[in-house]
Amino acid sequence: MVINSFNFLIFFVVIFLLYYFPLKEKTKAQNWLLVIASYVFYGFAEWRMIPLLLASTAVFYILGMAIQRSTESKASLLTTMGVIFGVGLLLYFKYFNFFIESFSELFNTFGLKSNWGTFNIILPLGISFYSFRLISYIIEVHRGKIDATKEFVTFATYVSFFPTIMSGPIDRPNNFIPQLEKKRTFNYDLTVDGFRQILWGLFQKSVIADNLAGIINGVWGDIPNQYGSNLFIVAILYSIQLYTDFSGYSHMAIGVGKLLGFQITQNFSYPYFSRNVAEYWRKWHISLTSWLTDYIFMPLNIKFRNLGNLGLILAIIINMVLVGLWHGANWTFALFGLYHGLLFIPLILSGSLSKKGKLRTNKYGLPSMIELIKIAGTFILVTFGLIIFRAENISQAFLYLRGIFSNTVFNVSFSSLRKMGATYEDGYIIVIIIVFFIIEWFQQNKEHPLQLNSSNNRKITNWSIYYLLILIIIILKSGQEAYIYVQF
Amino acid sequence: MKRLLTNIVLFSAPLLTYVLIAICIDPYNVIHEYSTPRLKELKSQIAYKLSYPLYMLPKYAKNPTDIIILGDSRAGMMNITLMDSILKTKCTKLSFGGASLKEVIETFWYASKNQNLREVYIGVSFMQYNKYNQRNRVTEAVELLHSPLSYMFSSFCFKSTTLIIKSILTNSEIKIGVPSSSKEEFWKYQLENDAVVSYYIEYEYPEYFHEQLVEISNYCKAKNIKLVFFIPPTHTDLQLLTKKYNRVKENQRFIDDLSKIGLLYDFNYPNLITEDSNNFSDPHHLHSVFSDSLTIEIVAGINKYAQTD
Repeated sequence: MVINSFNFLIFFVVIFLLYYFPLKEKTKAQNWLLVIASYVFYGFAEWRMIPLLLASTAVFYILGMAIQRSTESKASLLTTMGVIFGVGLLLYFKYFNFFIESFSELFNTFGLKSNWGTFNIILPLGISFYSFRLISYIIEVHRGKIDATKEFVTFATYVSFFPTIMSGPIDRPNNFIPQLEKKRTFNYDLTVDGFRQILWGLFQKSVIADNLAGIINGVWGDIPNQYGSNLFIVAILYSIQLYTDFSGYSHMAIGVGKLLGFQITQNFSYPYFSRNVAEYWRKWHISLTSWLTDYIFMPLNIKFRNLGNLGLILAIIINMVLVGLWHGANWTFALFGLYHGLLFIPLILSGSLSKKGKLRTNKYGLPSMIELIKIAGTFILVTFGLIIFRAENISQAFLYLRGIFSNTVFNVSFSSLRKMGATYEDGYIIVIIIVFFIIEWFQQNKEHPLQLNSSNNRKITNWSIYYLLILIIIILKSGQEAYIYVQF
Repeated sequence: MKRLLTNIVLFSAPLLTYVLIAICIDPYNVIHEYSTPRLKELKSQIAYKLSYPLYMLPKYAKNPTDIIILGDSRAGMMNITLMDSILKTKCTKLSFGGASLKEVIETFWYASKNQNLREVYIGVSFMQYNKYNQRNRVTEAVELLHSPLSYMFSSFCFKSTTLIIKSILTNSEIKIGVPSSSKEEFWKYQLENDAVVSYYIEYEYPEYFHEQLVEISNYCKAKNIKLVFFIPPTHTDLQLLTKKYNRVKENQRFIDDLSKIGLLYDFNYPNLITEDSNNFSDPHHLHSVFSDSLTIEIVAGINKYAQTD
């Protein structure tokens, strides 16, 4: 049951009606409903992993209570144990086979014959997202930023909240648990905004991301036979696909949260208008990068502060490699992280890392030439990073990059794109992508581009926009592709 | 909450109106089979051409037959009434315009799930036997058949419903897929610019399709199903593309593969019929006057024109 399916719509309408009618303002009962709904939702995707989700929730609930009641030294020990357990879960389910394979290859490289078998470990869906929620909970309890929650149902809802369990955003306990504990009354404006955000997310996913999937998969499956120009175009298209797919999901998840009265952390803030890589990472997958900044980068930065710029570079590189590896057990992700870490070095050395200057625009609201060059440059750098990210292994990434930098990069051939499934109708999608970014540009001070003025005299205009989007979705939506980030 | 519910009802009114109209018209007969003669005609003029598989598969699911014809529009030129009378049973054409081999294979498995098949006739051409010809409208059609809500909000249902209403209200004929150019212009276009040519320019041996055809063949053997392949005739101008784009070897491998998998009738070689452009509406399509002889050869096994293995 994916979030953009009719099955989910029916499921959610039932939850919504129960939530706001028989259970209206009964906080505990609403939380019970949410936790049951979350487990049902999760069970539809991966019922075999429900015991793991439940057990790890129970362990961290008990740990939270114990940390709160303990003396400082014991609380530190318990927190460390909790972090080890949380990271251990991730390491076991996500990286165990990767480590075995990597060590085996390393030994073989040095002539030491080794044939260590791997285990048949099923990756539990959403583990990267919910394990980070569990870890941040005990850290925040230990830091005294929040009180350990006494209600197991409240805590279980925080961990498994169905809109966000599969692909985030990774909400922090400080933000989410207090919302679960207080009385939630129906908020008209928040609900309407939720609907708009869902519509925008659906548009991004169904019209842009899914329509680009075919040609991107086709080209990636046939790299040696592609012109450099096609590889370059498809690399750009992949950047757009990944963004519209993932931020589309985030918008829908946040929108669904708003319909239930929750303010979920914003996950994207128009990252492709960033003027450097540091700004990009402040705007891309915000809930993950802020999590790693708080729990990895900051402690490392403090530890290395005596080393000056070198310490900062080290902290950033370690942090970025972890950002990469969070996505999965593959050297491509580590290299992707390293690549981004290295891109920070010029910013650190030039002292422009923490500069957050306002975007300079002309009288039409468009970027100045210098800003445009910076934005385009950052986008291209990010796009090259995403080639490594998308590749199945490092040699495939280099094969792709070599293809781009071959002398066929200036050859343009529609027939070679066509054989990968591109049609003349795809021209519509290109126009839509351009319009999409124009809308994003002019709405970038809003949480999402469809956050419109709600005054009564705007009703006809607003509704016309909604109908237009619905019409475009119906006419241009492609076959339903799986969400890219669900695999992480 | 009252304000929200009022707005939802008001906002949904046009959508619900559309849903009601779509249910009444039901262009692909997914929800019900009721149609007036006029509506039936419009559905075959409009809905059929917007999505062949979505139009044909539910029809087959409701009235399955144990003899089917698969392939693209060229395979569709088989005379079904003549087939019925030769084989003394009802047969179904599940061939449709521009069908790729992937779609043919999917349609075969769809049909085999719905009915115990007895005879299967598959029309295949060289341009379909290419790794890059990956078009697939069947999977989406099958998914839509399983979800009435997704079906009603699909582009096919929406476009068909609106065009049918337009045709009824304006009393006009909706033309879909009819070339606006003259025969000569269209002929030239098909040989030079059409998507078909790209499958001669860009070619790679379709391992996957070959494996799938072998699997179908094994399935047919195990279930005692007669499996017949045929290569429909095309004009020699089109046949020459294999030479022009240096695909003669690949074309021969395609023919060899098919003859190893099942019984093969190959009509696609230079002869009196295929050399005469008057016999064709375009380089791909033979005039229907030849349907009978083609059908008799393939179904009754009376060999006249076809090269067989």
